Amino acid sequence: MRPGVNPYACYDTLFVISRTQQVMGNAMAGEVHLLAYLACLLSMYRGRAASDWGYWFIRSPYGAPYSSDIDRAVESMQANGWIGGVDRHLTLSSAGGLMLETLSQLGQNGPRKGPLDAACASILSVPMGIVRTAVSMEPELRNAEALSLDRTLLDEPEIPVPLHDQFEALRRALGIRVADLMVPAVVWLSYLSRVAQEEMGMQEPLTP
Amino acid sequence: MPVRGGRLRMPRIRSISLRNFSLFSKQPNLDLTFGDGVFCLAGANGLGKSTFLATVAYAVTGIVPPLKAKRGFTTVKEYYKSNLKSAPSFFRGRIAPQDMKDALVTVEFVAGPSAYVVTRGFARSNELIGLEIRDSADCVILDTSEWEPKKRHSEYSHRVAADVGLAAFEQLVFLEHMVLAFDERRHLLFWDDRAIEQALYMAFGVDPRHAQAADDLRKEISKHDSLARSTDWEASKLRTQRNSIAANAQGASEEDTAGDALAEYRSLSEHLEEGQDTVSRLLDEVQAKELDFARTSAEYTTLRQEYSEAFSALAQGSPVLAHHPLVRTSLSESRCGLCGTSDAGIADRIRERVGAAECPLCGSRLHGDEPDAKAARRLKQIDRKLAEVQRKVDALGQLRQELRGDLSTAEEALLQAREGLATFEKTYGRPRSDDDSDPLEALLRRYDEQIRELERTKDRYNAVKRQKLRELRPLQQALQRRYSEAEREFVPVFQKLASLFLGLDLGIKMKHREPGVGLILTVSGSERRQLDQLSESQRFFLDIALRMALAQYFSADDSKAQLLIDTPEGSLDIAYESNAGEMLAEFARTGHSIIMSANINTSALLRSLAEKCTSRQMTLCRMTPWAELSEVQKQHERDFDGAYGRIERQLARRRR
Repeated sequence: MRPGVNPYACYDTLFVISRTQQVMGNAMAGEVHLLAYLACLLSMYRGRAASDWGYWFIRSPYGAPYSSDIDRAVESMQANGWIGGVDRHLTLSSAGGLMLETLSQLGQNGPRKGPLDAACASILSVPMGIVRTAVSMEPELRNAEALSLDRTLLDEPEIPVPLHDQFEALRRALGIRVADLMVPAVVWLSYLSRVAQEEMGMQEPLTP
Repeated sequence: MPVRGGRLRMPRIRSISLRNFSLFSKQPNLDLTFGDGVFCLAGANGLGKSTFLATVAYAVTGIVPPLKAKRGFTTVKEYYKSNLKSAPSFFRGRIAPQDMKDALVTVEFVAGPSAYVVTRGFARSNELIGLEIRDSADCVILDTSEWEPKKRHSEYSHRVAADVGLAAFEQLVFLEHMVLAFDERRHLLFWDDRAIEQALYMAFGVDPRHAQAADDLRKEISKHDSLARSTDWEASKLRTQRNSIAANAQGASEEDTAGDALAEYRSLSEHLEEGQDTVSRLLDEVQAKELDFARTSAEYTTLRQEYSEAFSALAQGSPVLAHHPLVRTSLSESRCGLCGTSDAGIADRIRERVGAAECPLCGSRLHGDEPDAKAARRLKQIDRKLAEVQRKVDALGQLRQELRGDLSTAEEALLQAREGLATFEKTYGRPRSDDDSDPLEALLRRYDEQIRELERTKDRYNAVKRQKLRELRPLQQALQRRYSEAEREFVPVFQKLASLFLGLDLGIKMKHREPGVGLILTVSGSERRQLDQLSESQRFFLDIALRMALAQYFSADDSKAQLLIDTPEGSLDIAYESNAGEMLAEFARTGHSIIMSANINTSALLRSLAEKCTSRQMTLCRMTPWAELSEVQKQHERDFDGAYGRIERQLARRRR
């Protein structure tokens, strides 16, 4: 394991692979970045700052959202034997499973579980391809993509206004406190996916 | 790229005429027309290129952009007001005294549906000697021949602001001077938070009145902030004086026997003192808790670092040998990955050792898949400590919030107590007691009253400031929303222009900086990084790129903007000069126009511009015949001719 590898990115990576392989047999590296980013957004929906997430994501021309911390975590944990699998299809080894169990007991990872759980559970209701399209329509990533700008996502101290507006609309629709984050996650992803379809001319415009 | 969203129709100057303009001694009467594309006035040093461009701006706005502003830009209204009288002194040194009375400038321009012919003298900014307005069918729609000069100017300012699509003439002056003119002031819009904020409101705001409202609110916030600070300073000065006198005072106050009014007065005073004590105590507590909070936060940050290190130690201590690349190669190829020996038994021997949790290389005992117990214990220890410190941070944060709330309530109560006392004093006057016979005590009391009055005043100023900030916030949010919607159209325009010049992946982002909003430059996605490597001249062109992008964005489809650019080349090298020419040509290519001046020696910029624009989109105007050249310049007149000739040939080349 390389020194300086981000423990939060390692935990998230193990968590996402563990949940994704239960549904799909394994996880692609890009899916780990995607679901961890979605979890970070959901944690912001719960009122936490993006800077509390422990690492950052960027928009790059080689794929977005992308986190170099997750990349390093995957690479290190593959060398270490916690993650196995062929090519980019990742699975958890028994040692990785035990490590996830150990890390899950730590208080540091407590607040991450809810958002990670909701992000991973959303693929039970929404196909992975749709999740990817929907997340790409989230205002921060969408703007960066439209401008083809390589930029750090969600790096402002305040939540971006368009994202804040969408979260507010979700809260109004679902009530202030829905215990399970999966409900707002799925509703939001469905909304974003519909916006994507509408832009591609596959849907009638949404009424406000 | 077509740019949507524009709604302004800024003045597009078609011609300008100067009469008795003595600076141009050989041609004091000049008539120039401006077609589409670039009009470039090229001349030698000291001929009056900057004065010419300042006169063009003056002709439309009645104001000369101030060369040495007394202070930075504050508000749109203030900019207009403070420069209203600057023109006469500016022109006094440039027009001979005997010509001042008869010197005139006439400008013809189109703004929205109307064509204007405006004639001004140079002595008064708010008067017009002539004004004619025609509609799109070329019919005169306003005859002002019988009007007073001031009335003409007043009518002109209202009409032109409305034709442009702005709420006030001051806004037009602001856009002309601060956005559309890059002149000898070398003012950089990018790095002027107050000016860029106004420009953004006008470019991206839903309603130009919002820009006006935000401008007014910013002015009020600054004013009340400054008033509160100076009042506080006054109060503190008085308090020091009062305490110094009191330190020498002796004797106790006598019993109050002056009746109900005095009793009430004292009760109110005590109430006030209690309030002051409470506020003072709470201020101390808040400060103490702030310190605790900062200390605990620092501890938390250190522990997070330790947590990362402990995690790395745990991970390093738990290699799963079967996955080690050396072991995997040896197993799959039955060949030692270290010494290269091939042997059918190698794989079995390695498997046996790995299975027995032994290192196949050194034979050391290892733990299996279980995480390293010692490292795991250490990680758990730090995790527990982190949770403990996190709880402390949360609790302190909560306490800090509560104390701040209490402080705010106590300040409110103090304000009420002050007002109660003030009302009493207003109604009954200040009750007198026997104490007043003591001149020292009477003096102290007068001090106290003055201090209390100043504190009340300061509180009032702060309350107004807070209120104005609250009123400003929705306007800022509306602007941020509009910008976010427009970003995908606006930013690429800037990126294209800026990358033509610098060849870098540049972008811009909107930033909220309390109490305002502004833009920041990004280089390859990083905020302002590498910016220090840009020279001053490179910054000029980035600023021009921003102005061009704003102008393209805010101009309506049926109206194109016109920039005034004064000798921008500075000290660029040949390569950047050439790129700068391409950037200016790109702006002209989109139908917008430029009136610029340049030194005739900077041929790389002009040649590149001429090559891109050709004579269809560029006019070169020789300025050397306008005024007397210096002796040195006269000796090199042939060089000037040669340089003009090269650019003119470049312009003509494509035409053929």
